[in-house]
Amino acid sequence: MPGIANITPSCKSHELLLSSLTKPEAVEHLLANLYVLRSFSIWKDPAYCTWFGETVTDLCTSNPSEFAPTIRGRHFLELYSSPGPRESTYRHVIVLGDSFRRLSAFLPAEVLATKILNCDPLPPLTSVSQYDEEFFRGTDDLFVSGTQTRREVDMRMLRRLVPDALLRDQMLVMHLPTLL
Amino acid sequence: MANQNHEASTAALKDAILSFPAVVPLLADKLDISLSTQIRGRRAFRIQTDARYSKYYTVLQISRITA
Repeated sequence: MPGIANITPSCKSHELLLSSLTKPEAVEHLLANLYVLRSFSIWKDPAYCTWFGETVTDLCTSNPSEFAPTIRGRHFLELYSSPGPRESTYRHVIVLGDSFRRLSAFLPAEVLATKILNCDPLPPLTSVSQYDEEFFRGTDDLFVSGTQTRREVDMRMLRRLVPDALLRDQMLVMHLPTLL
Repeated sequence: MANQNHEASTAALKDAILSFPAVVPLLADKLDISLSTQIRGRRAFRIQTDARYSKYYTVLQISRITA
């Protein structure tokens, strides 16, 4: 990339500071967005709005410095520091689909790069098999031979129903497009 | 016994705000609740729009190239 070598070390560290969200923190922000999207209608009541605004203001007045982490907050981050619960959250967002597409900004690049099958969105890290070429090896042949067997059975049935060969052939020609 | 002053619910809301402060600016914006600039300026109430992983990787790649 041209000009990339001109980036000063201070600029690089600045970029790193901007991108300091850890994976559990990213899940926290993702779920915060999901919570608001799903529950803001409950909060819409003017009385609740006032209560919410006043409680936030109260809390900030009584805690002039930044908030100390709470036990619940710490437990949450601990839970999502394991890949299992994180993957489940990512899978949930993927299954939600287009209406929640904005949330995919919180998914890590490796998840976004994964080829997603609708029948198996984001297979778990513990999966023993995947729906890949290896999994479906030989299934095409099975399908073809199955079709051939089916046609032979159909022809045998037709021969019994219409013993006259000439009439049978005429029927086949007439209905060939549907029979095929 | 019913709590007329909503003390228990307010305490629960405060605990929720302290535990999950990221919800506060998002909910406030969605409900058009205006909070003071001082409150909005708190680090805990900063809105994150993405996980910035791609940027992080780009910076790592840049460091590798320029190293």
